[in-house]
Amino acid sequence: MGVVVVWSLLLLIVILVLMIILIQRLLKRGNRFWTLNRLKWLSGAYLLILLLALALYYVLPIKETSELRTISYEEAEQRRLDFYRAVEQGKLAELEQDDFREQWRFETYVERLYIKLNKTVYPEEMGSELIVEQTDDTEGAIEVRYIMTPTVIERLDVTDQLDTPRVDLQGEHLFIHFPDHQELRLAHFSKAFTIKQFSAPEYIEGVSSPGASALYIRLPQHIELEASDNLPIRWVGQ
Amino acid sequence: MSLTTTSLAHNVKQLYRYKLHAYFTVFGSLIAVQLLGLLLSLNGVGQFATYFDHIYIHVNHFSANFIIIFSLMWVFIIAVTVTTQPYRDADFVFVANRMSSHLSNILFLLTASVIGGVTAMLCGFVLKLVAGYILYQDLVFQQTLSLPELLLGLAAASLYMILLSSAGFLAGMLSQLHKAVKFVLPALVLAMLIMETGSPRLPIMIMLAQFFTNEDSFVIFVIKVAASSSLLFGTALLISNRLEVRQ
Repeated sequence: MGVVVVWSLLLLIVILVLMIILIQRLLKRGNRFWTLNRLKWLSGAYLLILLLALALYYVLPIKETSELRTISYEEAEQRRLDFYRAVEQGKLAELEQDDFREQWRFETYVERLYIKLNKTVYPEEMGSELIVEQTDDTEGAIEVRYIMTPTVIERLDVTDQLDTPRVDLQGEHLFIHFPDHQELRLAHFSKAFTIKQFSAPEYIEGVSSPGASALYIRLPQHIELEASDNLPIRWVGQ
Repeated sequence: MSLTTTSLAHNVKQLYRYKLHAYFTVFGSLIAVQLLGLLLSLNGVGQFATYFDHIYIHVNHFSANFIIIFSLMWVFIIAVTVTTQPYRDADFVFVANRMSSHLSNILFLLTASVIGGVTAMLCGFVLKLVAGYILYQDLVFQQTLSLPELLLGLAAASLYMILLSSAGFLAGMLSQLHKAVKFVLPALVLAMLIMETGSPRLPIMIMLAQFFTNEDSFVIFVIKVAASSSLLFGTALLISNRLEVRQ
C-alpha cells in the first residue's frame, strides 16, 4: 500500500474523528448557543444563501471562457506539426489563417536593418522562431507577422489570452519586445461526482499542449539584415 | 389488525414530528460540516500548472465533492447517533413501541438525507461564486449545468446520503448488541480499506463503493441504492428485535 494511500486514510480518520467531536458538541443538549430559535434563523439564512447562489450562478455573466472554443489535444498537436513542417519548407503562408495572431507593416526606405530583442529575453531562451524572408511582394515595406498555433489547456484554446510580442521600427532598428513573464490563472469547475457518473466524460484533467510560435519577418530584397550571431534566424529559401 | 396498523402509523407520524423538532440541532451541525467542506474546497481539489516560453498557466480544479463527502460522513454519524441509548430512551416518553421508534428514526434519516443531499449540491454553487468572483482567477471555465443535470445531481446526492444513513443505522444498531462491536466495526472498516482483492487489485471498500459510483445508468443506480438501503435498514430492524425493550 502506497504512502499516499496511508496518509489519505489517516487524514480521513482524523477528519472523521474531528467531525464526530464537532457534531456531538453541537448536539449536546442544553447548549446555550444553539437554541432552537437561533438554529431556525441560521438554517433559514443558510438556505437563503444557497438559493441565492443557485440563482446568481444562472443569472450572473460569469467571466467564463464559454466564448472560447474548445479544441482537441490531437487537433492542437496536428496544427503544431503543420507549423514545423511549414517552417522547414518555408511555406508559412500555407498555415491556417487562425494561426496568424498579429501583424505589423512598416513603410521604410532603409537599406540596412538591425534586429534588437528586449534585454530581458535571452536569444537562447526565446520560445519563438525568427523566420526571415526576403521578397519583393511587400511593395517595399517591412512586414512582420506573429504566428502561434493553439495553446490548449484541458481542451480549451487559451491562445487569445496570451500576450503577444510587440514590434516597433525606429530608424534602422526593428525592436522586438517579447513579454517578460505572464501568469494565467484558471479556475476549472468540475461537475460533482453525483452528476459526473451519469454524464459523458469531461475534460481530461492535466492535459496541455503549448502552441508553437514564430515571428515571420518579410523584407524587401534590397534591405541588408544585421543581427547578432546568437540570434537564431531561419531564412526562407536558403 | 387494521386498528394496529393505524395505531402504528399514527405513532410513527407523531414520533417523526417530534424528532424533526427535537433533533433540529442536527441541521446546525450539517451547516457547520458543509461550511468546513466549503472552506477546504476553496483552495481547489486539484491543481495543474505548466510553464513554457515565460508563460505560467495555473489551473485550479474546484468541485463540490468535498462538501458532498463531508455531508455523507455527517449523515453516517447522525444515523449512528440516533440509535444510541439517550435518543432511544427519549422515544419512550411518547410510546414504548420499538418498531414505531425505529420507523420514525428511518423516516427522520430519510428526511435528513434529502436535506443533506440537496444542500450539499447547492453549496457547490456558493463555492463556484466565491472561487470564481471573490477569489481572483483570470478565467473560469466549466460546463454549464443544465436543469436536468442539476436535478439528477440533487437526486443522486440524496440517494448516496440515504445509502450512508442506512449503513450508519445498521452500524449503530450493531453497536448496541455488544460493547465489543464498537471496536470491531471500525477495525473491520479499516481492514476493508487496506485489504486488496480482485483484478486490478483494489481495497474491498473501494470495490464496494465502485458498485455504486461506477454505475452510469441512473435507473439502475436507484435500484441498487433502494435495494441496499432496504437491506441495511431491514437488517437493523431485525437486530433491534434482539435488543431488550428500552435496552
